[in-house]
Amino acid sequence: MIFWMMPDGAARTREMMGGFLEPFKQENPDISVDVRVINRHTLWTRIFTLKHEGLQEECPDLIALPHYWTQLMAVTGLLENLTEMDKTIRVDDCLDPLRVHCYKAGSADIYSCPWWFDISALHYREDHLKLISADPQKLLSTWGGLLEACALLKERFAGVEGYYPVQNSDWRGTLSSRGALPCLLSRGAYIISEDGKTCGFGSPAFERGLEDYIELALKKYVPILKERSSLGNVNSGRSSIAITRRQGVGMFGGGNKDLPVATISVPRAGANYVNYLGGVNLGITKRGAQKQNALKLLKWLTGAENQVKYAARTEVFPALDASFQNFLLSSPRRIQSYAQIIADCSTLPSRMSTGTIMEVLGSLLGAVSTAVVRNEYGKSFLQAEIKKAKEEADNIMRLYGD
Amino acid sequence: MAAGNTLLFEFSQNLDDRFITTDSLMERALPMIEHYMGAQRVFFFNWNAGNSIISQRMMCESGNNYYLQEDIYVDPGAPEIIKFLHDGVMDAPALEYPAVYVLLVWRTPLNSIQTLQSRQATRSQYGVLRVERFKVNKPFAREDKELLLGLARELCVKLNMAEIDHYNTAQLKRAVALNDLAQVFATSIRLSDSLEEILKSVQSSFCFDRTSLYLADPQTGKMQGLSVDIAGDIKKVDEQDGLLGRFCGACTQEFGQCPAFGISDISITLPLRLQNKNLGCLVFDNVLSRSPISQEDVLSLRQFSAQIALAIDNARLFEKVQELSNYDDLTKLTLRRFFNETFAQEIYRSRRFNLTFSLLLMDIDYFKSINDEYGHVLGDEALKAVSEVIRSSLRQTDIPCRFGGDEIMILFPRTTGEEALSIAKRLAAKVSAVKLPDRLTRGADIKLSVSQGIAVFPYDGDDQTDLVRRADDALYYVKEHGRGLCKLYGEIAEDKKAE
Repeated sequence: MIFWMMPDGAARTREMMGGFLEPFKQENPDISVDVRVINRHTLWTRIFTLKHEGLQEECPDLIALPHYWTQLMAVTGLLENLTEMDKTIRVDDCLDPLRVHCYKAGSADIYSCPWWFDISALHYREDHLKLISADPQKLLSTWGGLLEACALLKERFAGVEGYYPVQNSDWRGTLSSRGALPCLLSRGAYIISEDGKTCGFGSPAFERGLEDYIELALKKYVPILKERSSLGNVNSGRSSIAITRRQGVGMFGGGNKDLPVATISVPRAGANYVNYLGGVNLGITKRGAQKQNALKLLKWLTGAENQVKYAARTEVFPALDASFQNFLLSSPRRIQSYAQIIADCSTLPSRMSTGTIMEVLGSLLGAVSTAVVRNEYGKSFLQAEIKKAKEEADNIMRLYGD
Repeated sequence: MAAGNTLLFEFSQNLDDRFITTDSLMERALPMIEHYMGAQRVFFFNWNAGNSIISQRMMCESGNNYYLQEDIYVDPGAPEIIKFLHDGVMDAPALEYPAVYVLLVWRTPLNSIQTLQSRQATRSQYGVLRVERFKVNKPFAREDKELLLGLARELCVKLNMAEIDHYNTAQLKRAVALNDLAQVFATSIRLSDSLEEILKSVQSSFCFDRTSLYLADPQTGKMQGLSVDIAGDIKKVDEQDGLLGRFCGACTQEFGQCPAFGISDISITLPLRLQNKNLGCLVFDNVLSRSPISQEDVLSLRQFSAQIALAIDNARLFEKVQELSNYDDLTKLTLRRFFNETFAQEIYRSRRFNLTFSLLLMDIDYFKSINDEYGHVLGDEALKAVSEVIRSSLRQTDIPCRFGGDEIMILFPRTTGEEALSIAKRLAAKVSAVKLPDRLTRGADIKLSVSQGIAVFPYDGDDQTDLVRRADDALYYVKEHGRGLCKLYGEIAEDKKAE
């Protein structure tokens, strides 16, 4: 069977997955699992070709997808109805914000199962921040404070070649839609309205939230569009701060477990703290040739024990509520760091149009990134890009909104 | 150098297969380059010269390929980039371990639609490979770079071939699709069936997120039609629903002037025109997936929009002919031949599902006298007026027919005798209120009335002949007993027995 997954374990995903699936292969010697590692952008393009026989060279049996794509893939008939395949499948024991992303609107049937999730948080080098502030947590509690800290850090580490105060956690190395979400939501902007009819692009809060986020790149506090391998990070000491959705506590340190990294909520740009929670679900494709094998693997991967094991390997969180609670409780540092972060979390709505709207936002930020590095960025540029994105988003909502 | 040549030959031989896409070619090529170069990682980037960004498409590490993402800004004016474009190879300056970039330039066939004429051309495509020795920290010597340049040259040849293969395969698919569609159009006669067939065929052939077909109402010019989405669901659409979107304005303004309009990256609007007639338009969009629609698709769609226009026009003509052959011109009621077909189908359906239905036979009282006294023009007017009463009073499922002369027959599916009797009484009441034009009656107050007889399936007969005969018997009975009334065959049979 073919399993399409995103590069959760960075460049070593396939190797890592090969080892991880070893017990499954021993339990099921007659099932061979071919793991294909496909980035989110390529996956987005390919899911649409899956619908049409003959367009795609291969059709996966099992697919790992961003949680908010379930609605789209279920409605367009790309995903198999898991409840119909197996009455014992349930998701009511998963973390609350993830559950709604398993169903097709208006149906009680499950189309995808949560596998893992991550949540944005700010991680900082305590030893670095101590050099510029007596109370780093307080300084980093607001977006303005973050920018102030970056200015001081840049000055303090001016002699370190290739130093940037903030590590770019985006795979593409650009400004990313997921990176922008905490700023947008904190400013009171919304992506899709609660009734699912309108998109929030173009509001003053939206523009202000984007400006907050872009300022990091504009002031060269975060590197964008540079060779990833040339950049330093929090571990190497050539960055002091990372806003990332991975766990952080275990992620930093590498061989040095004593690396002094603290984890707090993403600074609030507006009135509220907002940490973006994103999940990865598993679904079975309608055109897959080995659906029953895919179901076996899906159940195996989403089982409590394997969820925890996988989450530990890839520095994410298990999607089962009880597993997540146990995971937090297993370390006083974790519970201290994440209790508040989880309390301030927010995720995207489960709508058919959410994926497309996020792609539009991604394109907007891609254009901004290029303009920033070419020194062509300005307020009028941003407003023109927002206007373009809003027009497209409005058209999408007109056609695919509720 | 001889060893190098052997490697290049081997590399070329191993890439001699036919690759459907450039990605599948690169999946084979990157592990080989990694191996030949003694490298630990090879990246493949697309170079979009338009925005000075190189975008990673694929990476190979330890023989495994990954579709990863990384965008890097390249300053086209920087001296090292100008030199790179000249030399084709350069060291990666910012990395802490040995790595080199090598330039790939290949060509891809395309059709230009700038003038909306198909014109074959080729376009240069740019890419780069980054080969890294991050584990062994062994710098790339001059001969390493020469080998890499040789591999890049071979790879570009294979990329050219893969692009041509891909293009030809896509063209073949389009040709097959157009052929299939032509067959669909040739066999689609009824307009309602044609629209669905056309939409489904286009959707499965061209794989858009949504295909919509709008037809302009010949009287009002308003657009309405059908749309099929990626899930295969078909729904009715009109110009208010946003599918035409911003092109709606263009439709009315540019209709008839431009052979194709409203082309954007993700949607196309094509007019359907035939001999200066604006029939409507076709809208194709990838709004949901945001995948760009290729120029080749636009050209193919233009070709077959003319065929669609023809198919739709044919279907409309067919319907018009059918209307003329099935309906009586004077009364707008169905003609006997069409009625008999429907009658036979109703008998079959009612037998199969154990249903009942009623058959009513009506004629206008003293119709012959009206004709004789006031002329055939008034007779026709009376017939038209009665027919109008019938057409406006019946349910959609009831079928009235001009049976001959002033005789009208009505089929009431799934209707009992009592129910038919009730309808007949209502019809009689409405007919009695009809006022004929004074200019034809010469001032006389002519009151119209109708006599009606009803037979019920299966009680009065279970075939056409029996049922018509029984309804006629009932009508005859009414005429014998004073006219202006309505009787069920079942009632007169009782009366006849009593007599």
